[in-house]
Amino acid sequence: MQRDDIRNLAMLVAFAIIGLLFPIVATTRFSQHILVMVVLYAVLGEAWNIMAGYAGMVSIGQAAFFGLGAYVSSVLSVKYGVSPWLGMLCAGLATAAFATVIGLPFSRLRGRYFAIGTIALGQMIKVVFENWQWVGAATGLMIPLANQGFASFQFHASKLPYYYTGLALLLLTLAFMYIMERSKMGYYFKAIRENEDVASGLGVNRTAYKLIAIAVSAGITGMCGTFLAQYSLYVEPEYMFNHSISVTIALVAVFGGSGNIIGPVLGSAILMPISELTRAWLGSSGTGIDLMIYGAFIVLMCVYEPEGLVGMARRIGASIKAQRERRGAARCQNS
Amino acid sequence: MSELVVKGLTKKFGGLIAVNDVSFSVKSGEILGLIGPNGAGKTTVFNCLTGFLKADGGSVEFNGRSIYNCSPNAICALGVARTFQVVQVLQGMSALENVMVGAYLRHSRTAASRRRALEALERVGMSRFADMRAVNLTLPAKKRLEVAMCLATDPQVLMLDESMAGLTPTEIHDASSMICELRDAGMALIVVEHVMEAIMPIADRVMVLDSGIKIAEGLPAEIVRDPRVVSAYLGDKYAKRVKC
Amino acid sequence: MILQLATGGLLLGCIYGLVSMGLSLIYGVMGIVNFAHGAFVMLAMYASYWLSLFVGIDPVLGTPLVALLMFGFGIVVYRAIIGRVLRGPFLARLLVTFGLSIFFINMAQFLWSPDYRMVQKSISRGIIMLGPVFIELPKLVASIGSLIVAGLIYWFLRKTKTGLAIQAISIDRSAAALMGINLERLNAIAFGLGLACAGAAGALLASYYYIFPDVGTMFGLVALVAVALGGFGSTEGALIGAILIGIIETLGGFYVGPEYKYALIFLAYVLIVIARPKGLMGWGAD
Repeated sequence: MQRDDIRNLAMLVAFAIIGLLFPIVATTRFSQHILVMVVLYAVLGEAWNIMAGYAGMVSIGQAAFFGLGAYVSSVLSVKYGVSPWLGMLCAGLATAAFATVIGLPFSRLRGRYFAIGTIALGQMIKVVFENWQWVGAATGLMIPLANQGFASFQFHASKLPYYYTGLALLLLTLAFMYIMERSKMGYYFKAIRENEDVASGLGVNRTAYKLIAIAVSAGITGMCGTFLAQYSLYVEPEYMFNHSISVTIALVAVFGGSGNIIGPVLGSAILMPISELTRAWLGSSGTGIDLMIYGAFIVLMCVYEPEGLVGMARRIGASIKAQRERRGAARCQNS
Repeated sequence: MSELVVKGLTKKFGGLIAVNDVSFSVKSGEILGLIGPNGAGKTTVFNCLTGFLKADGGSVEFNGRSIYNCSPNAICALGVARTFQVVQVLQGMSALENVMVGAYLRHSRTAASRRRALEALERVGMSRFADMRAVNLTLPAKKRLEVAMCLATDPQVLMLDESMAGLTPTEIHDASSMICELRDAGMALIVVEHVMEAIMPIADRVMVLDSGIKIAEGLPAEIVRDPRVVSAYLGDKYAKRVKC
Repeated sequence: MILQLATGGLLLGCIYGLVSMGLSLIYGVMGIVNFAHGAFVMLAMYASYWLSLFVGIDPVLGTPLVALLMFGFGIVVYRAIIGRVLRGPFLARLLVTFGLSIFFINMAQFLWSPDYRMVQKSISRGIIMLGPVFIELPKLVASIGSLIVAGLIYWFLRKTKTGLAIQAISIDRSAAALMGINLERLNAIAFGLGLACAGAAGALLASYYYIFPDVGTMFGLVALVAVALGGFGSTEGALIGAILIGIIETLGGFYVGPEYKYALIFLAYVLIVIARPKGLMGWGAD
């Protein structure tokens, strides 16, 4: 146990250092943009992971929480001049509260009924925002330019401060998940995922724990919404509530391997550069080639590696170990 | 000393009355055998008592407190645990983790929960499988694991649903002695069982259900001679022959 | 006015019904929620479009051909992809069709551009009066066509040996396997049939609907909601759910506002599924 903890802490520190070193090689604005997207989707993938990978509630409507968070902070900032940092906190709390209210009926739904319900939620909330004049309806809101700096959460000269902010958010999320995985909450989430009836028979209040998972996941996702709003300095329903955000989030996590901490980070680190690079190389977005490759990735992953990259690594590790043992056994026989 | 008292329990599925006005009680240090032909309503009784089904009438009191139609987790928290007819474990988690989920009910900290879980595994003789994923366990091992998961919640009443079906004679013997040990430790047990040879020697009392109605209750030796029970199991013709 | 709207809803519902039937069939037999169903409708619409443009086959008359093409395509997709994930984990089974959907929609966008297209010549044109109700002929033809195809599928499932075997699988997979039913072959056939439904619906729609890469998405989602409403696995339920949705869509679009019509459909889904977590006529596993 002790050794495990030290090793994992060392891994987290090493991870943070690697994260801090990336900007040395990322000197162009485009490569910095890729880094920002990687950390953003890593956090989003982890948030999805809490709800789907651990607690077993597969959501394909995370954009609902994402967009809501983006709008909360933007409305606060545009209409009331609230600092984006405070806005981000409000966004997290508001989406978590919204998710709890929505989650109460939704937690009754199981498996695919839940998944389809989240799609429906994502579509409904988008329509509401497209027709809500007060928040700019389909045109959305522009966040007024301010002097750059951490106080205004706007950086114009370089994208790196965004990256560091995102990295901090990612490390916080990872630390939370590390603690969660080793606590009662993590075990209860997994128990609900594996078999709700058994879990409640063992004293797990499934509704309460499902709501916790949904609220935490939504809260983090909402804060990411604020992050993207500050990054692009505008919010618009078609952009913030886009269904492809929901799909990308699920994909990043599944590709890396859901139900464990490192999976979504790996998934994001590999998929986001691919998607951004194909988009840049093969013309502007709208041709669909980037998403086409995405789709192919999902299919291939489901067919050949349903446990994700982490599952693949584990299998390779196991076979290497088995081989080594076989070799060891052979050596014993020879001597 | 704890006691579970059931009065007039009734459950309907549409027009079918699956459990009809069933009353019984069980107290610490006692094994109540619950037998009956297929479809007699034994599992339905379990499901109603543990909150997995909403009953349509009657009362269920545990230590003087009504647990009638409470949620499964609340009932478990009060000290009534159950296993499932078709063995149900948390497939993707290790045996130890399975039991830890139960142990967390009384021990919020992970280290304490792990300790309690290891004890429970030890008690059912499953220590060496602690790190094995539940999905890879054999059927008898899964059944033991299920009992360990319940034990980890520190129940005062333990309800076992056909925990010996599909086991070999040796395994039945082991399971029976485990059940007796739990009784001797002061637990109240309700055991649904199809295997007569297994339940009769260990039960202190036996209750018989047929078509949702309680048709007999008494000592095992009395029950096997009860003509109503014989006819429920083997038909009226056979029952008459036994009588003469 | 209500009568006019209800008729419109009914006509729309028939096409939704055909799409939903295919979705329900696939789910019932192999437990796969086909999120790519809309994409397959879209592919069928393009197929119909190219056939009419280059070969001169009218979309309505070409329906059997497109349905047959989609049937074959379905068998290929099943053998290459779906069949391989059936024993995989829940997430893989849920997301694989998502991947297919994203792939095909964006492939269409990449290969054929996001432009809107329309079949120029179609045999069904014009409007007829039926009592006080105006009916656009293409919609009427498409709806009747949908009902015919749905009837054929229904007949196939109830009266042929293969159809009965498919039904047996959706009732109890392992029992069916024990009876000597070849699951793999029938899964493939059922998937093909499901796609044939989507194909026929696509071909019929192509006679009057705009064709663009994203056109199928809404049909797919609506079908999903219809099937969930009816209860996964129930073919009749899907048909009823679809007609219900067609009516909600037209009435809601008129009285609440067209921008809200899809939101209303989803709202109906959420409300009904929360009240009845397994749909109106549903049974089976989660």
